[in-house]
Amino acid sequence: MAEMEKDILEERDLAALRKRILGLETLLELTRSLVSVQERKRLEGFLMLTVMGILSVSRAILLARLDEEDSFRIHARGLRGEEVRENLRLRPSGLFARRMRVARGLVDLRADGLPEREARDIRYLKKNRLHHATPIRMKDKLYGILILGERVGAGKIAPFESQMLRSMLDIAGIVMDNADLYDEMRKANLSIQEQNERLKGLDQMKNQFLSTMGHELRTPITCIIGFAECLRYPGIEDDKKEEFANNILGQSNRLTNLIDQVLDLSALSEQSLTLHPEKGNVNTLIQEVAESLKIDIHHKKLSLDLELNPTLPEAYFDTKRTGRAVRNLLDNAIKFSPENGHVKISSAVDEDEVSITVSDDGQGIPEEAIPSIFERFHQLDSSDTRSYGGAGIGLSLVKEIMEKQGGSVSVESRPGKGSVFTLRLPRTPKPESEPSDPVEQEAAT
Amino acid sequence: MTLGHTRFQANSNDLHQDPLVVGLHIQGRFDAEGLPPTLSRIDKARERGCSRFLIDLEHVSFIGSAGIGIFLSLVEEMRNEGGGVVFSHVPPSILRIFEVLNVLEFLEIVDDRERALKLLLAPEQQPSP
Repeated sequence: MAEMEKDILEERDLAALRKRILGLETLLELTRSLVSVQERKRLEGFLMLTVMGILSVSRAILLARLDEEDSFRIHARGLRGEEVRENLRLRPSGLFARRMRVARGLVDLRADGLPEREARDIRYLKKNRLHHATPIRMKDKLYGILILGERVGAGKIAPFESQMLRSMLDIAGIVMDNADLYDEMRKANLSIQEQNERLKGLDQMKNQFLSTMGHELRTPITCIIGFAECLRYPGIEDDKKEEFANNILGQSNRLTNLIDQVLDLSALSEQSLTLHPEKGNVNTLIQEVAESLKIDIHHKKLSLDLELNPTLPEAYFDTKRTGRAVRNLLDNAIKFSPENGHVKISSAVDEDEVSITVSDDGQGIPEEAIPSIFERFHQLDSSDTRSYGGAGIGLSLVKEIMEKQGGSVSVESRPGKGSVFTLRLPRTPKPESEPSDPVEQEAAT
Repeated sequence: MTLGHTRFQANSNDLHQDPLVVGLHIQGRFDAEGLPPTLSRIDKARERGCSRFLIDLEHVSFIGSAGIGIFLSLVEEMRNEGGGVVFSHVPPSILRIFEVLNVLEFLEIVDDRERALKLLLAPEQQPSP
């Protein structure tokens, strides 16, 4: 009898030893395999299956934490997937999630004293015979929660198995941390590639801008030289002389305006352009700009309507730059309107704003191009550049000038029907930006 | 590790209930490397609506914990769905591992394919309590 008991004991010891060897082999295999898997989903799936195998568990759920917002991806094994997706909603502020944040090792949910009436998550897990849960973490960061069902064989989880599980989950935490770093690195690489593409695009825009600017500068200079040479010829009638002089003046103004715009754009880029908004009447500004472009309007045989609100209240704006913005819009309206077309400028008042609207019956802007027309150096296409001229800085300058003084610009347009640009200016001074609190800044870093 | 995949056609009397049993023939080392193709085959079969699997382990030389994890979860899931999993030709070394892990009673293990098919296609094949 004693011999038989001894045999049974030896047999049990042998079984325990075999199990221990299998466990250690598994740990080795897990370490080897996990470090080579960099994709999170595969990693989680492999970890879950390995733990199930070594602990003889036929149902398990792995809640993989996706981000800092406490949302979880659910991997389920041994359960009906649909059932899991429909029923299990781990609430970040729920008792279970809070318990898992502080837990170390395997927690027996039946013995943990979690009040069922408050924890819907726990009720679901118990109903599905999922009785043990353990966090997967690296240092203090929670990467997931592994929830295990009952063992298919008899017996509680032995201390050796618990210890092995801890080792597995420690390795998993490190590997998940690495996988996250790998993901971040991949995203950073993508971001660098995107930046690179953007820089290439900007470089292309710069080249296009330089080429267009060359053209834009050459055209008025050619006209000025040509008409100046004509003036030198003897015998030119007086009325022709006046016409040539007006042409020279017009082209010189165009050139001056272009150079001023480039200088403003450069100053805005360097944050060195300071605007001086003052109280003023936009009707006066509109009339001045309209007057300055009278010759261009006349040359194109356009009709210009001014619909100015006579009771318009004053607004706050930088006269010189806002005048430039209105001029740019009116310039565009003239440029894109057909001969004998109509251009209209109107003024109006809203609650806190005064608006200036410039509309034309020109070719309009395609819907897909509208979001980018206020970008620097943007032009609808190169053929338009040749047909209508322009360096692609006018509208971007309008936007930047308006925003810098607390106003805005918007556009409505339909191809073939014309465009309506609206400038909005504040009726009260733009509040100065308050200096940031140094104490808060320090606390935030 | 190589993986064979055989589809067994049941007799006409059973066709209206469950026309297919998927046979998985696993060879060599069934470890981390062999998991993805096996899982993929199981998933595809399940997508087709199959809930009965015959897994032949005759030529398996090693099985890792993750492999056992797959078997246990598949058995549980198929039982939940009214199907089943039967293992055939299990080598003694693999049987010993099942024994050490206390999972022998949970698994249906038979010696030959005919007996396995009979078990899988028996009308009383229902999930275990």
